[in-house]
Amino acid sequence: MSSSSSSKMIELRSSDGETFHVEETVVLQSETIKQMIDDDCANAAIPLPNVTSMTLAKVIEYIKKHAEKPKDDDDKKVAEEDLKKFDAEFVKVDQESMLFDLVRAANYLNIKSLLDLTCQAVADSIKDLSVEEVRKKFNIQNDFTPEEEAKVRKENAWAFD
Amino acid sequence: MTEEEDIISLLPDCLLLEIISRLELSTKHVIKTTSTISKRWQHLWTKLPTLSFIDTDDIPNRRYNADISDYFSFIDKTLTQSPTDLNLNKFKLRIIKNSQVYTLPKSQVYSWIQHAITRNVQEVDLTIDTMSWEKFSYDHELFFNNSCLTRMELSGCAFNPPNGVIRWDKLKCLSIYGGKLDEDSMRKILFGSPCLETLELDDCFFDGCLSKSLFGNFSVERLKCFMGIYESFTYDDDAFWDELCFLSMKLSRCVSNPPNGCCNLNFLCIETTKLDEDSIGKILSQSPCLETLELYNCHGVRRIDVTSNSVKNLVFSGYGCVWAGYIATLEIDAPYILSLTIKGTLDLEKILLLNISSLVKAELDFVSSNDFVEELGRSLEDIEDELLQGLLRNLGHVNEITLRNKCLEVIFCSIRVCCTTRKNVISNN
Repeated sequence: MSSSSSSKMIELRSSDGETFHVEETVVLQSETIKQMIDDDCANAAIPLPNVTSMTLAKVIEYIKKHAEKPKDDDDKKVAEEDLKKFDAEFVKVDQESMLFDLVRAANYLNIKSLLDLTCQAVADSIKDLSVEEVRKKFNIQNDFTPEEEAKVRKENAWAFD
Repeated sequence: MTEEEDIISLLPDCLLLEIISRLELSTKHVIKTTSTISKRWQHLWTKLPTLSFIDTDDIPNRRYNADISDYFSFIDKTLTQSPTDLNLNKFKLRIIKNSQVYTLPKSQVYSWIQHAITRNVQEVDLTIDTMSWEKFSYDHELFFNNSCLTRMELSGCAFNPPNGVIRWDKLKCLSIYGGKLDEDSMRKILFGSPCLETLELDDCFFDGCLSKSLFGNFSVERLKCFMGIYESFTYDDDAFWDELCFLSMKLSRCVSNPPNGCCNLNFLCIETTKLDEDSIGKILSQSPCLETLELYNCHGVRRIDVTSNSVKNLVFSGYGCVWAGYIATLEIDAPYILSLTIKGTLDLEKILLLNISSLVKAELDFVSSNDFVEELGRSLEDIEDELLQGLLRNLGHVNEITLRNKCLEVIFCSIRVCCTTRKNVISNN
């Protein structure tokens, strides 16, 4: 009984109480949930107190797409290309906070490929920015006094050439 | 969540580190980019599992003769700020010699490597290009008897294992660039690395001969040899390759008489080598599992017969050799291949595809070489045009033809070949 339609359904509950039904084969991409299933803790809805329904919906969209199995080798190449496109679109989120929610969710649910994807997306977005620009982009409060900042620079003077 | 909120700092350190490590910056640039953002970020870099010192990236506007001892002091200082109780995934050190005036600070380099080793580093990438300096030589026992290392790239280094013993229990990939090797050192490496899967010898000088007894019992699946000098790499007997369990091999300039093939081989790439019809036939007949054959910048061969029905993919990239004389026409007979790629710079006027009846996919991305243009009294465009037209005629039945770059230009600039009657795909990227 390997056809996906007959796969067992797992119920997930987001922090705001919404429930999602996902096939077990799909949800196994999350090491955290896999562990729960292995430990026989998945008979009732699995509570995910750290993940909101909005984020969880995105995560499910991602793991569903990544669970699709190509039929043959030819299909495999097409599927790989398709997946690349999907990933690129997936991290183009309207709100930056969603990307960070996904980073956190990927970490909590332990989905390595999603953590890679989202962290890389954040890294790419700050790659060519100056310190000042990074602060501005993320509203990071500069809590150094000018003297303190000068001291940090002095400590690693060579790095600041 | 408001727009004003500092969303990134809400992440725990471990996730900020995941992000910082994906910036793929050298340690210097990580310090520069992150340590003054805020107090929270100040010491984050010390917790990264990677240390990377690349002199060409780290020293701006570097002049060839500049004194870089302050760079070495920077590395010293950086390492003293780094915690010693945190495991390292990767340690990368590249120092390219810049002048003969300054001697390599050996004891400093030793202490850096030792720092990485004591932090149980898994991947080491050392390029210490000493040029006229004597080769950087390292002999610390902790390095040679080490069960953390999984991957090593070593360039310009000579290693002297203490008491001649190497034990790299977990080492899976080893690349040696510009090394001088002999039977004895090779034996030590192979005997000491029971998990070795990939061995790359790039631009190495191999003094002596690789005997079967050396490789026969090892788990190496992928071997890549790019030898500095043709004749420095020889085999002791014909049966040398027969019993090996390589799955993939890339051999460059090292095969004056190509291998006999071997039974598990799935991928073979032969590069910058003089070939003849016999040698290809010999390889194929003795490699029954070979699926992909790649010939890069080879010369001397007039006809390639890929008559083995296991080979499905043929990549033919570059052809010719200025001092080896000119061959105008190459014939390819490959009745079983499914995909054919012709690319690179070709010193040819014509490629005749004799029997390619199984072919479903072809990719053409070549340019003509102008090495012989004058002698031939033809223009480069003319040669390219004829070569491409000829190929397209031969490829008439093929479902999918991809033309790239120059080939695509040629097709648009020259006589319009009517492709509409065929189901050809012409894509440009």
